[in-house]
Amino acid sequence: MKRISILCTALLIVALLFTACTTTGTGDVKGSTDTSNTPAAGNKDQGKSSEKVEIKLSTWAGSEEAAELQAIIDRLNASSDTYIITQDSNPADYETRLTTQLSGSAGPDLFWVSAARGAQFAARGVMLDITDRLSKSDKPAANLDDYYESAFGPFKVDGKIYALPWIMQPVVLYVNQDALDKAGIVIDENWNWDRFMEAAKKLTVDKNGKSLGESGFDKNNIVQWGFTLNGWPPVQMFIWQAGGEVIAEDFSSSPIDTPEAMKGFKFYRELIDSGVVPSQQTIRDRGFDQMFRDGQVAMFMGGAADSLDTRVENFKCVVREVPAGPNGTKATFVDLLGMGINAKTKYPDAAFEALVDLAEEIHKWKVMPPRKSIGSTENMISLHPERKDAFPAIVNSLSYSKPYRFYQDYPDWDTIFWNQLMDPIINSDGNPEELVPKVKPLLDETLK
Amino acid sequence: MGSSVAVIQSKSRKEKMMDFIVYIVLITVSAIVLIPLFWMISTALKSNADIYAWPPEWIPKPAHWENFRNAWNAMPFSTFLLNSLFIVVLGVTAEVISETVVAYGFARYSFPGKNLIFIILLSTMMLPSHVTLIPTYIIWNRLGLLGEFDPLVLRAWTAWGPFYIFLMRQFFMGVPKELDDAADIDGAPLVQKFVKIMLPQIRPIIVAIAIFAFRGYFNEFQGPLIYLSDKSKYTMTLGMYFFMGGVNEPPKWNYLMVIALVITLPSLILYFSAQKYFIEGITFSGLKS
Repeated sequence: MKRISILCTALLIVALLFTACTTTGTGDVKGSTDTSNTPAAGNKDQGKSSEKVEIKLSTWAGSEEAAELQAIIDRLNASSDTYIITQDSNPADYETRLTTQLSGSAGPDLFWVSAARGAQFAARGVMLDITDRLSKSDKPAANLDDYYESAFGPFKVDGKIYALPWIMQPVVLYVNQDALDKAGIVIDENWNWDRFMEAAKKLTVDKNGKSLGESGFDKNNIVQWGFTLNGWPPVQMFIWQAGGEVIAEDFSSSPIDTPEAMKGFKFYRELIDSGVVPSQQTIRDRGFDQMFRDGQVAMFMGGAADSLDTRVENFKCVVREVPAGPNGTKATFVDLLGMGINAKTKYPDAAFEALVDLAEEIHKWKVMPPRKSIGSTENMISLHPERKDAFPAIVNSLSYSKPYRFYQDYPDWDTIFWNQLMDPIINSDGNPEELVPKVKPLLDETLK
Repeated sequence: MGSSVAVIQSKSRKEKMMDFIVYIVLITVSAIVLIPLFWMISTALKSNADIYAWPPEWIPKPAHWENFRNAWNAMPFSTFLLNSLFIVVLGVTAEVISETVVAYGFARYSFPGKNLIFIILLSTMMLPSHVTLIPTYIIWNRLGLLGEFDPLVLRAWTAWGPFYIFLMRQFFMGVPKELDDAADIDGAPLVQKFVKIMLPQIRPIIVAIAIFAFRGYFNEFQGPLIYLSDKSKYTMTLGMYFFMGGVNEPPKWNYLMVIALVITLPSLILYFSAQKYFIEGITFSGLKS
């Protein structure tokens, strides 16, 4: 009897194992990419034009974003004779996952890519060169003249284009208008660093209603801070506003020691020292943007697509441009995200068609699209009427926005810049004048 | 007489005082250890807006019990749970069988290079997982098994847990050789000797390793992350990350804590139900001959 039960158990294990080896394990029928993760793993021959091929798309979309994206994909799949896009979205450690899959000669046919990673992938030939295909295509999203000039920066190497940008969100200033009205602050065309600092001080209020700088101000019982920062917004923005740069245009050096760049660093440090910004511990405890949502911070710099103006309920939140530099120079950081094709896909034509179609739809979905024809104030208001008051500032910001100067080894440069320079400035009372001369040679070394 | 009673009473008072101090220390340490768990439960019952309330609220008012239903229904977590259990059952079974056999070999048989092989086996523990990540991925790709559960389960048949093999080998070495000799004299075949005589002797460590392996497979993140690409095959740990948000989608910490709580429960239940074997497995030093 015992032998029979052992035999049965062994058979069960073998059966289960066999199931694991040959089926999906959850009763699903094998899809066209099930034989492996290789982009070529579809079961259809692309030569057969009457049959659609499966194009696998990887993204980092969260639950809600993935659901909205799926609705777009469903529409495209229904109207296309060429492809069926299958979405594989997961925000979990996306970059590790994607780089492992691509390094292992597998991975999706299409994938979302950050600007930093895009520059690396483009330089290393991981993504398909789509320059010729773009020039031959008559689809609107393939018209390069319609894109903002800076939109292709990270995705272009030696004049070749490797990805299409799908979002270009400039950093804007979200403002608690109720608090500004109460303090009698008006943001106008002369909005610059001095005015910003002055406003931030007035908006830093203690429990007795006294502002920073007033006699009797209780700095231990602040109920509202004027501004907040924790490494975000990036210091580069302030350096650009002061007329400086952190990476030279020819990528030969890091000019962080120029007087203009130093002005940017010092202003960043001044914001921290002046008391208008909560301590980093308070920010960690109470949540960075959550403090703004809760009315504990009056001005917050965030991406245009953060949509705090529609998400905040406790007060009137409006969108304004970030302040100009001391000489009136306007500059803001723009976050660029792109979508590329796996260089090893076996369906480059179908993947390209899916890429262009999907980019077109995402451009109409996200704020802001990297294209002039879609990104006009009027058009954006018609696409997103709930944010009509925000678009003038967002569209204006886009006109002077710029991304970081990404290049192949940018992550190495970035690690040194943040760990050895910005982290001490933000978290350890670091003095930019002492730190910059020490860090500059290290940054220059990474650019050699 | 009177003085000896006083000594006893005084000793008893001392002992009581010591007990009191020990209990206070234990309760304090336990409370500190349990704070994260309590915070997890508290967060799971809060609205997303209340999570960052200042000062923090330990007991949510009102408690949002609907978070459990909403989080579970937001993604196909029933499927994710089944997938996790599927991997756990096959993985733990394979791991226990393969590692027991290998450990028995190292404990009882002599062959050329045995010690060297054993050292090489143990030294694989020093290799960071990131070093082997891409080569292993390429192997599974060449075998055409990406996107399936196979890379997560079949590897267990290769006795890939050197630490568990080491533990089992030590246990086997503690089992008296006379038992083997007796079985040999009785003419018991090798399989019978191994299954009927040796395995019952090391039951505590088998249970302990099964619990360790259960936790490992149920909570594993990196394997499912890179090998599974179809949502219908996702595991609980992978599914949980959907609540981390995305571009301009804020994280849903309350839902995330709900799922984290659900993930914690099976390990807790298993640990408490098999606690006796588990502790034996860790402390047991084998039979005396």
